[in-house]
Amino acid sequence: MNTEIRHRPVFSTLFARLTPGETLTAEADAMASMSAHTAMTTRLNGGFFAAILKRFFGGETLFVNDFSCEPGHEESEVVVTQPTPGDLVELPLQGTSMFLQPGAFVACTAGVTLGVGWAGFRSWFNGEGLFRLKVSGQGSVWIGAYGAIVEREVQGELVVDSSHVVAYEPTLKLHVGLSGGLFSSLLGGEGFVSRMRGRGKVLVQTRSLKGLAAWTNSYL
Amino acid sequence: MNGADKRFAGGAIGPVLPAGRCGGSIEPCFDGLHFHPSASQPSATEGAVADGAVVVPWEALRFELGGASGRVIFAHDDAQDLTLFSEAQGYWEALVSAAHGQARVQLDRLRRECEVRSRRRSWLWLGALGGLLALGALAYGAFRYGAVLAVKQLPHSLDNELGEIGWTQMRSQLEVISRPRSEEALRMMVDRIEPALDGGDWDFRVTLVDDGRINAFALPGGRVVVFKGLMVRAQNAEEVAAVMAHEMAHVTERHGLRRMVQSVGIIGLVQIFLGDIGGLIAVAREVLTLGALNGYGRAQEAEADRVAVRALAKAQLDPRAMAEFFARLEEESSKEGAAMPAYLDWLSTHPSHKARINAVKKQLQGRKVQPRSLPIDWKRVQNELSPGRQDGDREGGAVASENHAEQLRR
Repeated sequence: MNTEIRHRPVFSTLFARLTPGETLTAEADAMASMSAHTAMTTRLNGGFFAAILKRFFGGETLFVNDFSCEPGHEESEVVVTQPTPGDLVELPLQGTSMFLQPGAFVACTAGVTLGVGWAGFRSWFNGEGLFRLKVSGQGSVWIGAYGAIVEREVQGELVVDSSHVVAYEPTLKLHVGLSGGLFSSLLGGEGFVSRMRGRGKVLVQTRSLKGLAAWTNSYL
Repeated sequence: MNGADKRFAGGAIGPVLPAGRCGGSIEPCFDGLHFHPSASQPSATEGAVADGAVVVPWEALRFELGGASGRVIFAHDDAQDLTLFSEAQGYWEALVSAAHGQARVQLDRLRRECEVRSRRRSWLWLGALGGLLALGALAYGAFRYGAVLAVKQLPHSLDNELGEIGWTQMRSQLEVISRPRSEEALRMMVDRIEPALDGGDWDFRVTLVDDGRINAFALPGGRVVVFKGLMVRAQNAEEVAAVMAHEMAHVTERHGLRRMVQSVGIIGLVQIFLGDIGGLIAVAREVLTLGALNGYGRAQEAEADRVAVRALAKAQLDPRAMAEFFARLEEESSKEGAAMPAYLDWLSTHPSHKARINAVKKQLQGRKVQPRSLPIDWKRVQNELSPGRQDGDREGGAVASENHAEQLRR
């Protein structure tokens, strides 16, 4: 499969060229355009209960679409995008897993399993739900964010504002805490932060939708 | 884990790996940990052995617990900047049985730390659970207290309406009778007691039913139903007056409504939420009937006793008649054997009469009562209700009223 992300980082869009036998799975409503001879099949995002879990706890759509090239054609093109302006990145999975924040999943190749993993009470206190979407297997996952995406290799500890975490490896432990002392945390506007501890990769978005919403709200 | 059954699913992170990380399986062996990258991975590390596995000797490893789940076991090789990790089931046991030297010491220390942490976590959970229970109890208390406050705000007409709903439900099972002399006697009791109860203005109505059981009950709004059995078996009018005062206290303290608000509270909310008002009325009917027939619950019965004793004293009726009545009924019930006879309904549906006798006595301690007897010829009243037992009871009745007169003198 030939893929390319264009119009980065603000209006990033994934262009995927599929040859017969290749499948791209994308979130419902993610497709912007596709060649006429692209076959699209809609299915539940996993089993019935798994789909419901993902819908309510993983922030994902209940259904996903499988795109493939119709037989008898050499190639077809699918253009996939995300609802918010911002960057898209390709994340290669080599038998490894990744936790995604609600709404971050955009598309993946066959061979990637979408599951729901227990995120823990810490994540819940952080306002990010008890469960989290977990992608694992062999293949590629495309992750979307609001703003640009910065990839960080953590070895020890990294402090990230809670609303800026997009994805992280399960080898990282998320600790929720105040950014500083009680007063500086509240008065400094940083409030709660996530302390990622351990060794692994974390993807951070340079803008947060929560921040945009709060900023917009001040004008309403 | 694959065929070797000592391999555990996991992964590796480190700059020596092609993409910085890859999935695979870990095999704890005698010489160290063997990491086998998953099939599609090209091997590219210095420590690679023949089948593409990476071998890290035990002495180079540093162990750590962590990860999102907190159960990921990390094995760091700091010299190579390589980390192997897995949280597969059985991995820990396999590590412990294969490790030796300082690796084994580290694993033992980790286990101890883990145990301490899990113990601390259990205490934390226990504390949280305790806190939650306490909060629940507090909410329940607030709800009960709130019910009492809420009921005080409701108009008396609501009690009347509910009482009538209950009465229409119950009257089909009871035979209402009219006996002028008895009703006159009961009316006299009500007139004496009513001004002594300070519960506002209530329309007390007495209904006599033809039933041999010793029983009486009150419905919200002021209807007091007296069973013939109570009248026939009471030794004097004061005993019946004591029971009347107790029942009237249920009315003035609005126990029926309070009980309804408490019991219907949660169900009622659900019903209203579902838009089922008919169901709510059905529940109200059930609760009221049960409350009237089976007693209003320990706390409310005790409260009714307290209020009744106070009112009786104020109305110059002998409150000791209440204790005496309880005592005699109990004696009668123990005489009949262990099983409570069916006609002692009023006792059996009310909580522990010994405790009630004591409570009445305690309340009367130090209180001076100057009783003024009721101008009722009790024998004639009983005669009207049960002409047949006149002879057999005359003696006992005479003795009882003598006793009573003596008590009054004392």
